[in-house]
Amino acid sequence: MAGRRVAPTSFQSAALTVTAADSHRVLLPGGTVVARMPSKKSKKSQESINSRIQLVIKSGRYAMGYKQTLKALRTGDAKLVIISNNCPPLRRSELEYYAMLSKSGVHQFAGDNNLLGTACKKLYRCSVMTVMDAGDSDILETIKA
Amino acid sequence: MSGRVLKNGRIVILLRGRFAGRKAVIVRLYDGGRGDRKFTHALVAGISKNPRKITRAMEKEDAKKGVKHGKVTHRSVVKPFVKHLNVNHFMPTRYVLDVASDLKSTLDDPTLLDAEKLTKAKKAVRAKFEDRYRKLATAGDTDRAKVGAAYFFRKLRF
Repeated sequence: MAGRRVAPTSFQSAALTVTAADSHRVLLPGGTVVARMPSKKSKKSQESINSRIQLVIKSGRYAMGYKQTLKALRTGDAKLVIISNNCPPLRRSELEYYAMLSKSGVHQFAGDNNLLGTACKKLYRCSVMTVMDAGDSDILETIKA
Repeated sequence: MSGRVLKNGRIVILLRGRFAGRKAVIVRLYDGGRGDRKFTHALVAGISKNPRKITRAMEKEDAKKGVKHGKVTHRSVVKPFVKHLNVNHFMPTRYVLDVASDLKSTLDDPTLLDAEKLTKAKKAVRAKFEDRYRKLATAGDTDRAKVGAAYFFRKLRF
């Protein structure tokens, strides 16, 4: 499926806001600009995200997996979507688009699906998960999508 | 912070079935399912055949001939479809069509169950769509409405 042609005006206006410095920004079809930061996270911040995720698992509501995430996004339950770094790019774009529509946050997890599964203290891998209720965790405040 | 994505008026792209690749508007959403369909689904009204391309030369030709229903009218025909769809089988877009709220009253329960009534209702849907298509260039629409309608009638090329 070829990329949709965006109406010229919206594309240009979106392109104009992307400066040379924002080389890591990606223009999604539809004109929205999404920051895809290369994962240059320090070990410390990665650990803190892991601990926040674990706190959500313990005390909050979450869903793991692509299907359940989409379900949550459609109904508006999803507050934050966490995507592993080896999630296929088309699926990633799709999730980011849904998140844009439902005004949920998106977080690029600095690790692949195996690591994300481990971060959730599960014995299986997980490409995408969503936080619906953070519980005691401050993950929603700290991650500004 | 999060909002519902699937609402009346949201333009969606069908991913499955005979009308895969076509654009449609959500008319009604059945959260949790209803009757036989025990899954979240939506009643959508979409475009089966998009209006064809019109050029200025055609308009001039019609004006010259003085025909009431000339080339432009015949090429502005919209063929609609009405369908119940599993929510998993379409992709929502950021566009919204303002005509959808009018369609809600046209496509109510008794109409959908009766084949004859449904044929009549589809004609009404077609009239609504064609009317909206003809009014695309009208000033006075909000930006969002204009962009949404323009997107709806354009064929998705893939």
